[in-house]
Amino acid sequence: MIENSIKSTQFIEKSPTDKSLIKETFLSTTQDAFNEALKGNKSKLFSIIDEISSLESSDEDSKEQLIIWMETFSKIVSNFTQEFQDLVGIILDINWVTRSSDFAIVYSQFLENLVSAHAFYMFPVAERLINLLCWKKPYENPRAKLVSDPSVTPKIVCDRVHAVLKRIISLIPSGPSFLINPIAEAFPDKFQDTKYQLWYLKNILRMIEYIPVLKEPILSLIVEKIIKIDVEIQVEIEDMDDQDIMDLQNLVFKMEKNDVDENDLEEKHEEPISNILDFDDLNDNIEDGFLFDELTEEDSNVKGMVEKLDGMLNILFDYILKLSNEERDDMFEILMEIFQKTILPTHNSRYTQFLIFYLCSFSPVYVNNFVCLLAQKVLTPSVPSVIQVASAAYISSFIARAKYMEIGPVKTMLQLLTRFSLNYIDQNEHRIGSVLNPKHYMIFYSVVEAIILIFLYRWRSLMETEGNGITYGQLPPELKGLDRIIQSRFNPLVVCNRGLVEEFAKLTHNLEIMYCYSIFENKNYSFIKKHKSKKSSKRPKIKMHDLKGSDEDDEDDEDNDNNDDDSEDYDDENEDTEEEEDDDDDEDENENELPETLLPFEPYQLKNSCHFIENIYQNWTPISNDEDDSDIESDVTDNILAMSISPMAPPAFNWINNYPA
Amino acid sequence: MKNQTHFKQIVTRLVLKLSPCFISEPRKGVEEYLKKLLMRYVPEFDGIVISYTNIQFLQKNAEILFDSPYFSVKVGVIFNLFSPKKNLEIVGKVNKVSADHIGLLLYGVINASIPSDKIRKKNFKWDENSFAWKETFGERRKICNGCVMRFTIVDVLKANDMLTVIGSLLEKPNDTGIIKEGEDEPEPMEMDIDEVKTNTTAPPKNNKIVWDDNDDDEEEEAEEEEEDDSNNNDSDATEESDDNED
Repeated sequence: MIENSIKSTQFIEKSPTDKSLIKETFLSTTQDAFNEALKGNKSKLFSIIDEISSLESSDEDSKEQLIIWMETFSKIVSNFTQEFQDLVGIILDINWVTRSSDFAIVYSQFLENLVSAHAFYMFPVAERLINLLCWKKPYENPRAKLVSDPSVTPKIVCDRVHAVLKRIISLIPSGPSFLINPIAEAFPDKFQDTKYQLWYLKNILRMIEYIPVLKEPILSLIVEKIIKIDVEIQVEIEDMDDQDIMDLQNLVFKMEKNDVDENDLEEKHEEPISNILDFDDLNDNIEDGFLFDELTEEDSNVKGMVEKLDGMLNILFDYILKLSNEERDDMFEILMEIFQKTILPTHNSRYTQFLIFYLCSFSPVYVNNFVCLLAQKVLTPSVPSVIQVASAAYISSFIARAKYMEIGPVKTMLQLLTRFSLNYIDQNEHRIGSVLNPKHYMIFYSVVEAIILIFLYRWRSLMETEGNGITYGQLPPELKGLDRIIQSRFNPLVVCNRGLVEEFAKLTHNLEIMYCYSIFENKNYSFIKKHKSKKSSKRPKIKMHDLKGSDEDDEDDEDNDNNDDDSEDYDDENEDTEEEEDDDDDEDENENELPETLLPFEPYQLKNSCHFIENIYQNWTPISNDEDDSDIESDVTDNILAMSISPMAPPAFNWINNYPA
Repeated sequence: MKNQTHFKQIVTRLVLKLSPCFISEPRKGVEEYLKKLLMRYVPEFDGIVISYTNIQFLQKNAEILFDSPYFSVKVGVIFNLFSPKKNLEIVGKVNKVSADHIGLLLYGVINASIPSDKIRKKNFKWDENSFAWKETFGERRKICNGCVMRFTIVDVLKANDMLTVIGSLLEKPNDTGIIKEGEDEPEPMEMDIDEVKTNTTAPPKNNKIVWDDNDDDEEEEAEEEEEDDSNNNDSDATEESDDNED
């Protein structure tokens, strides 16, 4: 019968009365089918199911009939009990979102009625809606092209889905708690194209607007996804050899051109490339993205990942930028939670943490809260030592790099850290036996490194006394006791990162504070326990990238005392090979190195999103101008002779331009 | 009958398997687990968890079994549950009406619906013009959004972790029906989803949650085992924690 009624519709001229007649027939037959099915005779119901699915898959325009069906279903919505889940499933699978708007409206009304009458359909409905938010998902069905309205753009699709979701959530307040799983499941995996990630990311950020409860879970989901990609990139890069990395850098990262030739290392002609692509439109970026034919598969994999990371961070930065103040407070709190849960314990993430770096730039309150949180981690003995060390690295790197951080809190932090170290010495110095094993005092060394790093970046403001310029000859009051720390039996200058220490020595020497070269250049430290470190590609080290030019994230070596060509000792690239050769060098500073500590806020090199960071990021300013020559000895003499502390470039100044060619 | 309530309190003993990251603060781990149960229908408790109190560790030591990284703790918890009883009346607020059903919210959160065949057709009639159910005589009050109604629970459906109450107006016609008429806010029949002008606001929270305050709360003893493997930190985290608990 049903077939008959359907068939008939195709022949009847559709005058209004006929139409209502047809609707009546539909209604009564469907109702009839439901009643029969409840009694056990499901044949009529099956024929309805058949009819719907054939309409859905028919090539002709079946819109009119489907509309009538949907209206009919809307009118008998209370019949769709659990027994009829199959039918509901078929109806839910109808491709509605790309069809013309009259169908979409009728359909969305049906959805609303359905979940209102039977809240348990919330889950399948929401699942399907969320899936529609994926890029291209609505068009995946090959038939979709036939039935969809060409005027329906992906953007309209999403608008529709959001509108329906919003209404459904308003009907079912307990619904959002069921959404986070489907949202997480639908998140495109990291191997999918950039476009998929970004599209979906934008959409779920939009969901936060009308489902505020989901803010926290969605954001932590996003951060988790981002950090995974981030770490993966670092891992991939670690596995590459230098040449690959250079190639990749030049192509993918925003790079100041790095001269590869070892002999010209000093003569880098670095031009800051300001090719910040506009990222206003998602489409632009993706379509005319970068083309790298010459890349190997692995490279292009990394390249794709970098693009993804870049794009996702860009969206989030933009999102943070557009928040209102209150929302931002909220965001900060959530991000702090996520930071502690995900970012801080994650080793080797490189860019994700810039979300916090950026967010903190909006208010000094954030800065203080963030730094205090970290300080608390460092100072609390019950915190796992890995976290303590990581926190110390975060503190130092953050204070060093955050241009917006005022000097007041910096001083407080320095005081705090110095006092911590002094206490530590008092309590632990006597415990050192005849052999010092630095690994047992990780936290101490990481704090000392933090102090040194902060001092290196902030000494100008620290040494200034009310407008009198820089005072020479003494430590700033905040660092009182630093000499005691340095001379302690812990020998921090020997153990701590070599590059850092040398820079520190140079600075203190220039400032006539102290002369520390003698301390760490004396190689006779037999009492320090040696770790015959395996020379694997993984090098334990702090990175001081942009001491010598921004560089991709990689290992950096300081052990080239026998290599007189390299003045700076911190060139991160090219030395791996040397490293291999020097393996049998008897006294290798690296052996005293602590396990790897990475500075979290290293120069930000992602092309599209870097413009958010550039202006708030403190680049390294070289300590003095007379450093273009070879080894330390001559450096020292030069310094003694010249004693030139040239007027320093202001912190905002890009040192690259100022670099001696 | 009068003494019955839709709320109940149960005392449970749970065995939870906690992830190692909670080793120094097992209480936090337990709470984390319990938080996930809030506002969920839990079949074992036969109700929606509204709150939990009185978390107590029943053992001094936690067990780590074989090579599983999780440690199991026995805790006693008191749950307050919402568990609607059949054949008992309840009050809800209408948030959606259609020709075939009335959708309501109980206490502002739990969904209920009255299908059209459970509506007293004698008293109420669907009015297509005002898009509401209307009383056929008397004051001709309307059932529309915002309207507060009392109805009988005839069924409680549990599917997809959700609980839906099916109500009826047929039983006890004297006790059920409109309590307070809703502000007339007719829903636009033609909502245009293409232009996002849908001005749906979240349904006004029903502030006055009245706890039927009977002291004879049922006490049940439920014991169950829960697997908690959801705390997986699968980011490349280097998390170290000292591996002992006494």
